Amino acid sequence: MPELTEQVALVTGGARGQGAAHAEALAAAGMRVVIADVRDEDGEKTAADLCNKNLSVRYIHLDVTDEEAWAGAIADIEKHDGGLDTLVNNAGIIRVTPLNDLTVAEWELLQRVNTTSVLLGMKAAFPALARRGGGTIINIASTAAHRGAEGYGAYSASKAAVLALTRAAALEYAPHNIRVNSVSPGGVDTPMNDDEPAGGTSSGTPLGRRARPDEISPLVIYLATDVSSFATGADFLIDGGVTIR
Amino acid sequence: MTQPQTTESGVALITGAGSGMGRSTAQAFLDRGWTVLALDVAAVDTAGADGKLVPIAADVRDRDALDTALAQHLPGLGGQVHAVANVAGIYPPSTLETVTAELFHRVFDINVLGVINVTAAALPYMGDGSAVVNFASVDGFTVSPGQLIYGASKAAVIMLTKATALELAPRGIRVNAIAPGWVDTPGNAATGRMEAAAATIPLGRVAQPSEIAEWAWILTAPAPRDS
Repeated sequence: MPELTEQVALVTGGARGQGAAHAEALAAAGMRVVIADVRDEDGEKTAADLCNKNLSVRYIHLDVTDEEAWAGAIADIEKHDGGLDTLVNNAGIIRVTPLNDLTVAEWELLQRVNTTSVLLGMKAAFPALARRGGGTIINIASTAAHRGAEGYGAYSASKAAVLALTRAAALEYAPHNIRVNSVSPGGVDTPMNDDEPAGGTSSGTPLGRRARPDEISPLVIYLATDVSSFATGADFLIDGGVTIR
Repeated sequence: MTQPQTTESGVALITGAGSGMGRSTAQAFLDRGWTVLALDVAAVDTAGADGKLVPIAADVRDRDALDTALAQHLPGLGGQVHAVANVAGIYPPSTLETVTAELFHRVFDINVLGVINVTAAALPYMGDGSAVVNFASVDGFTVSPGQLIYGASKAAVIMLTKATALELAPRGIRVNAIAPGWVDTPGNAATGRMEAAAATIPLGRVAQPSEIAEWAWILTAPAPRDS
């Protein structure tokens, strides 16, 4: 692994699930990690558990839909951790509702938490990353950005928008040595999937099982580090083969 | 804790290993202590590889030669192939005006049939947890003017990657592809177009072969496991 000591990462939605797995992996690779979430109890516990493993992880409260809160969080990280090198926009929610039953309120909730948050995160992190001479942004999308599924209209739209934002940001930030990529996991076993019918199990996954969150984390590490130095604006599917068909 | 990289050594079969991305991919596996079966029609420089780089002079178009070479080398190396990297490929320019049947067949035989031949030849030695990575190209997705046949061959590689992934998933064998853009290889340098190409790339430069090789490693390295 590249030497990551003194590198700082912020992982949103880091209290549990994929975010907690990515935080642990980045910290185990040597980074100082700040996890942000609105689930304060889970977040404090995750940070404490990881600190007990001798990893450098701390928790901050952050509502990713609140632009002012983002400014405060980035300022806090630059003050306490010395700067920011990697932003993992992982926070997200899912609701599964047929289009004819979908309310504007639910639609807007998904777009705000899953998509607006990514825009706000990139905007807020940009000056901090630029001050370090460059950095990496990893936006967590989903296989839902690539394929249709009944009841997933709002969620799919929110994640497809993440891919589009990622491409635009990659172009705008490239001159500042900031690489922006997205990851599209599918069929990952996390608490968020409790909000889906059948726990989000996708029948017909060629590898025949769900993923553990820590099977996605190595990809996040690679995209966070110089190992992926020529990748930007790209989406990386990691889904047990479910999007082949 | 899950590690993104493993020190567990294995055997990798890498085609086009004599130069460019193939050579860099071989190096990525050698650096992790793996044994590399370095297949190329040209000579493979084994200097400094400590006996772990096993050159195989064979043509990916020749299935019999591949079967024979693997049957000859693998028993002495544990009898298993853990990773296959199909890197060998050619990219002579072609347009409707210049294309010939001979050129079409040569490109498809090496770039497409070669991938099928090598994967099929390696399959008897591959088990649960092993993986294949095919080198496609951005030209398989978007048109590179003057690369009529090459682009079509790489689009074919992308589709056969998906088909073989489905076919081999029940056996626990993963198949993925990489689609590199401009890479600083001797072949690309010879086109004289690399500098102009770099100016069109948002990162402002072409890739180093090692930057692509790392992805071949990522996509074929043994899956992380709990410890």
